[in-house]
Formats: sequence, C-alpha cells, structure tokens
Amino acid sequence: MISPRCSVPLVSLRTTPRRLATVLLGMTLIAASAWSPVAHAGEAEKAEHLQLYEEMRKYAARNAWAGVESNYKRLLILAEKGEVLTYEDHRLGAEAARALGNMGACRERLINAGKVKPSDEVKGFLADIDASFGEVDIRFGRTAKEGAAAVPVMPPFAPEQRQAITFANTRLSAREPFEGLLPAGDYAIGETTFAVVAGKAVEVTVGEAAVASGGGDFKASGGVRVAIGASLTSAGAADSGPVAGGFGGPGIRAGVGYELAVSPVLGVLGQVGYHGFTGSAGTDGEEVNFEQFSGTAPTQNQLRLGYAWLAGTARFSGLKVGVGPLMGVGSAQVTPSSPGPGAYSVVPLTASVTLFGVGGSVDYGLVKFGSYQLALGVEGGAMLDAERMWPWGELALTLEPSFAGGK
Amino acid sequence: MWLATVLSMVTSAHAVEISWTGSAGHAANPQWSPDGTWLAFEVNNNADKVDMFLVKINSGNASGVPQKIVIPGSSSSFSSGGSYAANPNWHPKGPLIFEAANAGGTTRLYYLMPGGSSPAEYLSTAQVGGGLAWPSLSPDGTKLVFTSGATGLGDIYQFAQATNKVTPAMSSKEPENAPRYCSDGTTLVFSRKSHGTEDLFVWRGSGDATPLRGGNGDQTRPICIGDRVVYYTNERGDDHWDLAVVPLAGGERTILAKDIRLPLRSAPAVNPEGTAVLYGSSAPSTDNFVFVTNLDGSGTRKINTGLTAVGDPDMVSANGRTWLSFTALPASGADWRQLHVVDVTGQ
Repeated sequence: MISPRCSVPLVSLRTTPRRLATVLLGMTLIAASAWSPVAHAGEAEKAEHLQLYEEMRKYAARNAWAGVESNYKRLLILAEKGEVLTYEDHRLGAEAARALGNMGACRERLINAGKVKPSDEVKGFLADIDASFGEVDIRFGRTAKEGAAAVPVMPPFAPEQRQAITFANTRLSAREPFEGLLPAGDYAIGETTFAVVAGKAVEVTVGEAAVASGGGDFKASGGVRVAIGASLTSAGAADSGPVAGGFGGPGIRAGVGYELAVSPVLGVLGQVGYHGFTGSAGTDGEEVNFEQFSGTAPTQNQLRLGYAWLAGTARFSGLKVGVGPLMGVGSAQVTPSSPGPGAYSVVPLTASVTLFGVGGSVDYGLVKFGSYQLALGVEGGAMLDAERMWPWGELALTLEPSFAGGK
Repeated sequence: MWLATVLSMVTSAHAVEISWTGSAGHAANPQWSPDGTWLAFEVNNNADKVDMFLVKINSGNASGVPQKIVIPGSSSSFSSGGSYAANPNWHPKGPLIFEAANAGGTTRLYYLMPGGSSPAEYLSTAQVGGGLAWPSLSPDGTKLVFTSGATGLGDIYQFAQATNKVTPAMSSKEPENAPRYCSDGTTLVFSRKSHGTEDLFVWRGSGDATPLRGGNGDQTRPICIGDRVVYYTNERGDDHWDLAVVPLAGGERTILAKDIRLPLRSAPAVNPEGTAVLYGSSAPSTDNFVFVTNLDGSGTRKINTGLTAVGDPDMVSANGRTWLSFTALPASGADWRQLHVVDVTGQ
C-alpha cells in the first residue's frame, strides 16, 4: 500500500524519453517556482474558497460531479494565489475525478488530501486504487488511421472502473493518446490486445500491436533501422599466398537500413554501413620489432570496409533475431611481425578486399519511442575471401521498428 | 397453533451486542457479507433519517467501532438529518450495493468496497434516471436488478456487467417492488401493487410477467430458493404476518410460520445451506427466539437469545463456524433495538 503522504508514483516508471522529458519539465517548473515570490491569499480569496466549497458540497449531494470538478479546478487557481486548500477540498476533488473516470487525477488529489490530513479513509481509497488499476500509456501507430475504443474482455463491476474505461475512450475514440489509469484486465483496441496489471505500467501502440495480437488482418509495415556498436574483428591466418599471419583489432561498426514486417512475427532487413578496425602492427599476435628490422615508420593494421547485409528477422516477445548474407568491400592493411626469409625490413602491405559471409543479430528492446524501440544487441558473423576468414562480433545499440504495441 | 407442530429442540445462545456511536435509533436489517467478514446494518431513528453502518466481525466480535457509511455530499462534519442509506446487498466478490439519498435528494444506488474507497453512485442518471430502489444481485454477481421511478410507474430494470448497459425488464402500469433473481440468474420474482394490495409475479427473461400468487392482503418480498419462492403474507389480516412458500412453477402455497415479526425491509432470511428460513416471532411469549424452519416443513429449531422482540435474523457460514445476527431489545420497554451476533455452530 502506498502512503498518502508519499508522493511517489503509482509504479516505478520505465524511463522513456517521453517520461524523461516530462520529469525534466517538472523539475524545471519546480526550480522556476523556487524563485517565484510567495503568494498570500487575501480575504477575497478566502471568501471565494468558502463559496466554492459549499457549492461543491451541494453539487456532490446531487451527484453533479462535473460541477464539483469545475469548482475544484477553480480552487486550484486560488491555491496558486496562496489560499490553502483543505482535506475536504481535495477529497471532494478526488471523488469528482473518480465519478468522471479520471482515476489518475483522483489518486493525485487523494495524495494531496493525505498530505493535509492523513486518514484511514484516504489510505483505504488509495489502496483500493492501487489494487485495482494499472498505469497505461496508449498511443496510435502509423498504421492506425482512426481512433478506437479500448474494449475490456470482461467489463468491470465497480462503477469507477467502468467510468475509467469510458474516460479513456473519449480520448482514444478521437485517436488521441491516453496516459492514465485503467482497471486491471485484458483489453483490445481494434486488433491490438494488451493486459493491464494492477500497480504496473504498460505502454501500448495501437496498430503496431497487430504483431502482438497475431490478428489475421495483418498489414505489412516497415521502418528505418540504425545501429552502431563496438566490434572486434579478426583476419585469420592466410591459407596460402605471400601474406601469412593473422591480425585483427577493435573497431566501430555502424549501419543504416530498412526493416519490413511481412507477418506478425517475420520480417526482412536490408542494411548498409561501415565496418572497420585498427590494431597494432604485427601478425599472429606478435608485434613488429622495429629495432631489429629496418623499415617504414611504425604503422597499424587496419580494415576499412563498406558492407551490405540482407537478413530475415523474427520477433519473440522482447527479442528480435536477424540472420542473413553479408558482403563487404574495402581495403585492409597489415604489417607483418617479421620480414620474410632473406629480407631485412618490414613494410605494411595493403590490399583491396571483397568479402562474403553471414551475419546475425539478437536485439533486446530496452525502451520504446512510439513505434520504434531502442535495443541492445549482440551481432556477429564471419566473412571469407580467397585467403582467409574474417570473423567478427559486436555489441550494438540499435534504433529499430518495434512492431509490438502490446507487450 | 403452528408452534404445536414444531419438532425442534430448543437451544440457548449468548449473543454479543454490537454497539455503534453517532446515530440513535433502531438497529435493523443486518446483512452478512458472503465471507462472514463484514456486517452491514441500518439504524433508523423513526423520524428523519436512516443511516447505514458497516462493521468488521472477527470471531463474533466487532473489530473496531462500526463505521457510518457517508455518501458523497453528506459529511460527518455537517448535519445529515434527512439522509437515507438502506437495503444493503452484498456482491459475491465483496462489494456492497445499497440505496441511499441525501436530505431532500433522490434515492440512488451506491457501491462500496468495504475497507476501501468511499461510496460511489453505482449507475449514473445518464444510464437510468429517477429514484432507484430495491437493488438485488444475480447469484454470480454479474447482473443487478432494481426498480426505477424514471417513468413514474416504478418499473424493474436490470444492469448487466457484460454489456455495461441498463435495460428495462418489463413495464406495467402498476408499480413493482422487491425484485429478486432466481438461481438461473435470469428469472425474476417480485411483487406488484394492484388494487391496493401486493401480489407475486414471475418474469422469465422475456415477455410479460406471469402471476405467481395473489389473494387476500399483501404477498411481498419474495425470494427464490431453488425451485421454491418464500415470501411474507398478511392474508389473515393487517396484524398477522406469515411466512409462506410456493413452487416457482406455480401451485398451492404452504404457510411455514405464522405471526412472525416482519422485518423492516429485508426479504426472508435463509440458512447458509438454503434449506430453511429464519424469523422472529411477534408473539410476546416467544419473541426471545430465532426460529429456523425447514422449507419442506419437516421441522423447526429454536434459538433462545435471552432477549426481547427478536427480529431481522441473518445467518452465514465462515471458517467452519455459523454466525447468526439479529436485532432485539435488551429488555421490554427499552428505547432502541440493538444489533447482536452469536455463534450458532452445530445448532
């Protein structure tokens, strides 16, 4: 149970840029208010306060909650002028919000009432909300052209729960996003299905969730994929030819592509990018001894490669797996650790390379941005040319289509 | 004399009095929650208000002071004279539905989760207008039946959780009262005022209601128990209330008990097994007993409370115990009826 004196949110919010922006804005406003001159309410404000409260009571006695809500908002304006609101003000405001289905506002007002006067009534009320409602953040994806209502699989019995769904649907039916509280249970918005769990948060992107729902009316949709990461690449020892010895090193691998979901689970991905590394001069794990051998100034082994990757993708819960053929074209430079027989100097060798192979990725979605997600992924693969194998691995951050609105 | 046919043994029980503060009046209509944890009851001062209280019961004792239920717009810090909160009905999963009104206001249905939030209006005026009364839930709790004065004729309406909609069950020119679901969750039994008296009717989910029982005086507050309907009747005259049973399919009625103490508002109380009805007696010589009469007429047990003018019994089984609640005067001439709870396990 959450104490009414505590201002912590209902659930630990997952950090999304949207929420981060909200938090930063809130902090900015708090900081700004710290420099504001302190307001003091006068007799006029006190008289208006009393009048508004009495009206609220009369409205409440007639279950005229829109009137209570309106007056409570006017009280909040008085509060900005320094008038101190009472427990009853906030409690009636909370009841109005409950009757109108705005359970997020109801909860906030109850917390404010509890700050004025902790009471079992408020504690019980809050515990009731926290045990019955979950936080939702519902947005519409690009494929959702029209608004649609959230339909509970089993409509609730409690009046505030039914009203909370009605309240959310006034926004959703107009294709407006809704952030607030909904009763725990299973819902569908068109083809998008999702579950609300009491005391937990869920983010839903309507339309994209056709993937999650597995609906039969799937429509292909796609999005840009951007990946960047730190890689380790190795050029294995040559099977033949004058350049012997393996080399490799750490580098950067970055790419941009387009992913198309062709079914609720499967997709295709095309991506091009840069793959490179820089390593110490030498081969087979031995560095060049420039004191023993004369030669050019010390240099480093390098790979500068442009690549193209075509992959099939599959999505399983929060994971996305991709695998497919990979091609790289570029140049490589290597300085052998020792000159060849009879030679007295070492020189870097450079060559154009054309590589073919297979690449794969496993991404785990961290946070969502509308229909996109930021994922942490492990990628790897191996390419071949006429002389050697080029295996590589990468730890990457990827911005990619989530194709999952209802998980 | 019907008592001559009683086959029972007489048992004695020591009841615990449940006290409340803040409202002077007669305790009435105690109703157990299905799990036996809570007891809702009314306090009626016979003048200008009826209050409702809720108390948590632990091993037959009040766990704390009974809390007065305050509907929105009423406040304990202001006078609530003229207010009304009555007719508690428990949902099988815990919430309480009751009818209530602020002073001078319209009676509406309210919802309360014990130990949770304050009461909230259950159905908005946008869903159904007029004064609402006689709420009763289907056995599975997914439907609510009640009467509404929206048309001025006192008709029966139903709310279905599955559709979130209120629909009229049937309409007639006469006012209907006290509708109750039968075990199928569709069939309704109720009383209808006609030519100055009340008769019983059955509505089977569509079409018109059919008469179930008429006759002299009022036949009222029916309750379905299996394929039988138990109800109160004063067919012998205004001062004689009897408890009768009639087959739901229709047929002859059987009087189960005569000269019972008519509860203020509730339907006949049934034991947890659904095999017997509970009642108090209006006869001064036997008004210290709670009677438990088998529906098949095979016998009656008597529970001696040691109190006077016993009435409003209700019974529940919880955690292997059977608890009986009732109201009674502590002694003849006492001002107000009090609420009592007693363990009648094995009786």
